[in-house]
Amino acid sequence: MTSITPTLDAEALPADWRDLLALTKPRVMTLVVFTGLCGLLAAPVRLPLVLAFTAVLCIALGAGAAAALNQWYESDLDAKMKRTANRPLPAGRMDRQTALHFGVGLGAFSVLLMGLATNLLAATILTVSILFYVLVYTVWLKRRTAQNIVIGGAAGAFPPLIGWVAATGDVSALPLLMFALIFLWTPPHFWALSLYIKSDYAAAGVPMLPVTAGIASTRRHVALYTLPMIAVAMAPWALGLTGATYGVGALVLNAVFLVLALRVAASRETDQSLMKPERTLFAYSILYLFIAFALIVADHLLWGRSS
Amino acid sequence: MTEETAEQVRLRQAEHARMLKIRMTRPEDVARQRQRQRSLITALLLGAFVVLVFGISVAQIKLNW
Repeated sequence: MTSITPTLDAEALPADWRDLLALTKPRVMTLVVFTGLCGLLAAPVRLPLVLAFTAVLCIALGAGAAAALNQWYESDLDAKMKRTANRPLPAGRMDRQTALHFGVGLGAFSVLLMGLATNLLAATILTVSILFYVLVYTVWLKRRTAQNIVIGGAAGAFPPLIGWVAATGDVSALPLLMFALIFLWTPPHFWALSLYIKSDYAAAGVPMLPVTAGIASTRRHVALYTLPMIAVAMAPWALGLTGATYGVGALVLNAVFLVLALRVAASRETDQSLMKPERTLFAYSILYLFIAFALIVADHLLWGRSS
Repeated sequence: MTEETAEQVRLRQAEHARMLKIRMTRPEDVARQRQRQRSLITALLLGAFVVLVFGISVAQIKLNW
């Protein structure tokens, strides 16, 4: 059977809605939404359901906007990496102008809606988080320094803080510790990943730690950065901000994290395809954050302690 | 008029589907289809936004009562 398939000019065609959705990195958004929701639920103030929903929606839209602007700026890098080459921009399914307009529009909308539905402080922190991710991490740090993920980790740490502030209107110790936990969790999480996709980063010229400092040094960094993360993860219990439900759970979660991080540190494997401890730590670190935040909320719902 | 056999029906339907496929891969048709889908989604989102703003207004009024 003959088939006639005329060449479609992606630049001339309106973008498919599925590609616009892909631009928001829906999978990454899951963690953002979850941690934002946890910040909101751990707060001592109960928001009406519609306002709580709107706050979480705005956090999700803000994260989507930041992701779209990140892909708009990094389309050249994405094209060089296997993991990202099929994204809408590097794959040529969308023009850059559309991605820019979509990202700016979505970001502005999320901030305005947050301000209208909750309070000015939450809208301000949401703005800061979007700008931090786009300007500080994407534009400034990512291509320049191996510390990109250390400082840039702050961008992903804002959602629980925004959730809390949306509910209470102010900042206190627990949401700051939730922020700090994600901030300190980001380096071991990303370095575990970058160890087994080092060649991708090297091909794109991104100065991730395994590329600039080598695999052995990155392994040491993973173990080293796990220690302050554990300290911060235990702090809510130590400071009496949460009860034993979180404390005991966090103890177990952190013990497992430490063991997995030490296994990464002890490994001498250089073949990326055989780096099992790194893959295990990366997968576990996602689960770790989900459970740790769920425990904070469960503790609050059970004992109503957080303030 | 003679009755079509099952095989003739299958062939005719296959040909029709093929012609439709060819038409749907023309750039102007793809563009129109995408625009239609985007318009529909925009309309649905706008509708949801109106409902949301209504809900926010009611909740704010109750909070500040």
